[in-house]
Amino acid sequence: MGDLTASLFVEAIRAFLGLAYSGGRVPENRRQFATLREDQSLESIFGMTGVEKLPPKVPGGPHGYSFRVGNAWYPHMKITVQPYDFPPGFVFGVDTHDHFKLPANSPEVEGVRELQAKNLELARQVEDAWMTRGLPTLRGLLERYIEHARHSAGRREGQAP
Amino acid sequence: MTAGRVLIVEDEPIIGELLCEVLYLYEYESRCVLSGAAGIVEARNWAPDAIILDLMLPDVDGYEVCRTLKNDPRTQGIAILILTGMLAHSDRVRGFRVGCDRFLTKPFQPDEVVRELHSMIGDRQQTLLTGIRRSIFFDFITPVDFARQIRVYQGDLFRATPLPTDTIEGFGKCLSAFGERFFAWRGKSDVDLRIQLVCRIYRDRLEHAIHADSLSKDARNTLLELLGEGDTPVAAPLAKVLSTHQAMHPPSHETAPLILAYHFAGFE
Repeated sequence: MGDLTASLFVEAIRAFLGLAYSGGRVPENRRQFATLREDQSLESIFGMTGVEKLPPKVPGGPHGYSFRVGNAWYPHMKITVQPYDFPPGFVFGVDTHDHFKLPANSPEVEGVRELQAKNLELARQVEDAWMTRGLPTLRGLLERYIEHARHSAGRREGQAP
Repeated sequence: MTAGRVLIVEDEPIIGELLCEVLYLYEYESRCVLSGAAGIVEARNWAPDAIILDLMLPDVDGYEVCRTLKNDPRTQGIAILILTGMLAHSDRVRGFRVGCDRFLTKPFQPDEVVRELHSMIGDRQQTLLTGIRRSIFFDFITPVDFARQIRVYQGDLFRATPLPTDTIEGFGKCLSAFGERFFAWRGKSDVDLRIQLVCRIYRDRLEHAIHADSLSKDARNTLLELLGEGDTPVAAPLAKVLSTHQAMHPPSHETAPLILAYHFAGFE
């Protein structure tokens, strides 16, 4: 998957765990993510239990993976890593995995809304942390695309006829 | 004059803003709203040419927004592109069932979103008149180019139809096999046979047709044989329907453009 290495992946997971489980209290059933090593092969990481292969974006195309890493209050939140057409050839993401269809009059609606808001806030913090470390996120790649396009347009405008 | 008006319904404000900036680069006028309910209101009031619609929204979900807009005479002509992190085949099927015109998944490339918008807005008039959502052409010039066209074709089928991945891959393999046989035959033959294959995507079905100019009876028979070889999911029906088509409409003039083969696959 592009320039993805185990080292980059471990960096992304550690940043996530640091925010999702304050004080480093990662539960036993998620411990495997906390003990990943930079010298592991990507194959061994993708082959762990709790790792799901995602459908490809186009038929015959490469596919990504999701990792059910959870957080301190919700065990189903996931990290995704997916192929991307432009360098570095992959992108990290957070799948909050919390979209439930509840009847409007359900007594749980308010609780679910609070959970979703809390998860979304964590997802934003994680993506900010990844961007600070220079790890690729959709937001970061879009910003780079726009900057590059503006720069190219500026150069074209500056050219002598 | 803009390339068109695009409404973005996306609950993640930063992604919505960045999409607006991307669209501005391509001269689209855009607005972004953060909820499904606001999307429905804005679509009715602002009358955009197209909508980029997220599925996971805090109030009314994207499916419901799409269904509502496609069932309302005031908004049913607006092209809808679903852009979502939901990757399962069942999500695509549901998206097309509620009337979306394209289904793209996150993380998206800005170019692919713009390409689909160009196609949806540019072909809107034709789509309304003929029901054709997209036409994909294969020109059989070189094997390398043909292989590239098949990759584009598979991507287009994926984004504009609810067909499952293995069916789309099957179509691609079948066309690839036909192309290989055709190029091998043309390399050995003295006949300068020029053909074009077109795949038309409708809302509810798919058609493949082969057009050829100046086709002699021998060349026609050869092409029929090339199509008929193998038992791939497209070639066999193509060859079968070709025979029926010929029987029903014998060519009156050998040099006239002909639709040689016709294949139909319904979605729903």
